[in-house]
Amino acid sequence: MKKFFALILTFAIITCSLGALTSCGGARFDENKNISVVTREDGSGTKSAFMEIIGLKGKTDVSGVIVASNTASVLVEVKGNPLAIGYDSLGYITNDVKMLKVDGVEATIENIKNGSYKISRPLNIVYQESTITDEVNKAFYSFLQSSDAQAIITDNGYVSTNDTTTSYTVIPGLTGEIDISGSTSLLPLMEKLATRFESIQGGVKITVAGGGSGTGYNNAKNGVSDFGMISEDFNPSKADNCTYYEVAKDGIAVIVNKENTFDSISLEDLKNIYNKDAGDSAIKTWADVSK
Amino acid sequence: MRGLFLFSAIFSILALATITIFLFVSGIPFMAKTGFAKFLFGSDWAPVADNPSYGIFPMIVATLYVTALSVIIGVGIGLLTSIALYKFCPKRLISPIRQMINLLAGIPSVIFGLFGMTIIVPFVRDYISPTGVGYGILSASLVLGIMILPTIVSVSLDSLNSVPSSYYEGALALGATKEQATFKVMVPSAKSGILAGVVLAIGRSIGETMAVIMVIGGSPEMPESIFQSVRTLTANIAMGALELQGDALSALIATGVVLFVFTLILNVSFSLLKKDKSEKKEKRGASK
Amino acid sequence: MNEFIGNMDIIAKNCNLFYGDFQALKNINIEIPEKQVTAFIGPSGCGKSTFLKIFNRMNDLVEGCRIEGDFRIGGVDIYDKETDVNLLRKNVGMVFQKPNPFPMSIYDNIAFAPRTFGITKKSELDEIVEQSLRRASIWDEVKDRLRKNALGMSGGQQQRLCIARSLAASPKVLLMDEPTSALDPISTGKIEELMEELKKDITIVIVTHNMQQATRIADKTAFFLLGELVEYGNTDDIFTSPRDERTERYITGRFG
Repeated sequence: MKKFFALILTFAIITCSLGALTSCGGARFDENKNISVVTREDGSGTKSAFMEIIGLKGKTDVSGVIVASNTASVLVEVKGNPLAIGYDSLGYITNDVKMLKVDGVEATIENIKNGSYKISRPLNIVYQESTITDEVNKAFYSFLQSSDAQAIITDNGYVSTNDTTTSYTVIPGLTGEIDISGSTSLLPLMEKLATRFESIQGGVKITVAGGGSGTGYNNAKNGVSDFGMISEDFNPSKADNCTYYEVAKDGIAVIVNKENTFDSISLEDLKNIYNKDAGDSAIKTWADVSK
Repeated sequence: MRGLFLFSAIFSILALATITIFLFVSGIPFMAKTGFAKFLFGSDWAPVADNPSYGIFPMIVATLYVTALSVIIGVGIGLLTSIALYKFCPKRLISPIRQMINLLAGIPSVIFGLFGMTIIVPFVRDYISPTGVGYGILSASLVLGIMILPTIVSVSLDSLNSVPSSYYEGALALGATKEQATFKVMVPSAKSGILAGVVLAIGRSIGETMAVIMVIGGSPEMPESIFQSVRTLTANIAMGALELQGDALSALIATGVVLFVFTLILNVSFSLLKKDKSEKKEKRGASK
Repeated sequence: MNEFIGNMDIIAKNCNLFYGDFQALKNINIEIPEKQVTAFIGPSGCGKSTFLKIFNRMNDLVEGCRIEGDFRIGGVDIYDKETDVNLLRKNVGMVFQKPNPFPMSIYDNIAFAPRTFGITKKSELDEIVEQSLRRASIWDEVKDRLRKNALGMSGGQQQRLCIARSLAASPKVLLMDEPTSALDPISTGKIEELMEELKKDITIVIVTHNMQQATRIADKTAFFLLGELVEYGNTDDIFTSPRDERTERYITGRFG
């Protein structure tokens, strides 16, 4: 037991001292230094949506890019690195980082809904038509379209695109299981929707799993899951036996460190930061970004 | 009952065979299609680009860099630790320290990754890296260096302990200091065992995935500095495996083939070293 | 720094040695003359090996071992704080019961001590290696395979190699802890001849179980029993007219 405590103590001391060392700042924002470009891994829905919107669909990553394998590590890096720029679903952004205006437009729900904020994308579910002939799946499907669901969507920072005022009608004695998997961008919202649905319909159990948009397509196509989640425009070639429903819209926010002095960035500059083949117009340092 | 035993024995062989066949059957045709040289020595990795290209050479190089640096760090610290435990630390501390090091071996690699991501990467970024990037070869090597410590320490200590203490006494009796006796007689005598430990550590280092992904940065570029975001073979597979489809997925499996061949070479050299060691022991025994 | 020069006799006064609570040596006083062979005899567990190891401080390695008394070699207080234990061991060589050549080449074995004390020049090392191997009369047997691993030699050769290895440190005293007990008679004979030769320059103390060996080679003999020095004198006297009854019983083979 003593040894155990000694061990914990040692660990604590090491962690604390390192933590103290790292948290006390070190690097500061310096616009003459290279931008630390943060992106997501190939195949990430957020990445493909982002790259498509800024006009770099199917292009290779810019040299020196930091590839974060999930949304949380994008935030961690941008939070800690004064020179970083990254992007992430609006629904994920915390107060630890700063959102940049894009072409002068702030990333707000209003602006996404009215289309003035450029970097936004649909959050869809894909499913086989036969799926919603099942009573339980059908009930959940209609719940997603109800005003109850829209309230949850809006409350969590996403953009509701369904203006319905009809609320969900409870079906007494409904029991069954629903399996949903796919995009991690839609995952947190879907979990909230599922939890709510389970509490309304006591007999229903919903499993929501991640895996990415690719998994969403595959699992829906192969019938592994009842619904697949994708965070991009539905591409029928990826799941030819399926159709889709737009659950909500998600804005992709461009984020920088809080010490960064910029408040706004143009879509053009953003493209030149992320573009490997930008040539002379490539942006390497913050000083190159137009103010 | 005998059938059950036999089946169990065959099961693991079957598993190995299945994995090998799976890797080669899905990987080799892809390599052939892309061109072996283009796949192995190509420098562009862009599986989802409009014109996809599948060159893994930068990742092979990055893997070698990360492994080499981590082994230098791990062996440096690990060997000195095992020597300290062998003769230079108070006896009552030996057991607790050994147990702590063994505990280190039991920590899941994702925890190491987390530690690397939240402590080592920011530390490297703010205090060491000239480019302001913390992710990369140095961070990954530091994390891996810590991860392979237990292997190095326990194997080195065991091989030091298996060297007859009469060598140690003999060296001291000739006027050597403790340090001289240890470094000039004991360590060279335990050489083959220590080397086997190093090979094991290299294996762990090359194969480690989770912790590496979290600190390596992940850009599939040719490494030019240890402060640059790069991607190892394992990271390449893990980053794309859940998302990629079609040819891109086959490219990952082909990456797996390369990794498999790497580890195979390591395992063979480990067995050779072990064989060498046991032969030497026999010789030593016979001369008594 | 205390230097080991001049008369290399060995003096121990009021020696007591404890392993924890157990007293292994009891009030031993002895004066061992230089350039002679002195044998320690006695039954197993009588403390003779333990006593021998006092003189190159090998007991320092044993945990819980406590030593009292005054020990001087060539006038130097070997347990003094000023005394460099490594220098002591260089001057007071030891040959162990089991041959313990290092698992390296014959050359490297012999060159170990000189290298340890800072000799790096190849010509000098070559010289020392040849000299030492010649003094241990093994040069002719090994001169063609100096680069071969020492573990490939026979047991007798290994033991003479170990003697040569000690000689390479140019010791003034050589402690031998049953050096022939693991060897065949021919090898034993060779080592005994060697000791006759070596005692011209070196003080030799040998622990032996073999009483014939003591009579053959030792000038003086000390008989130990249960941690006590029972009798010490010229070898001839001890074996022909022992003063103590216990000595007589032992040498006539009635116990031990």
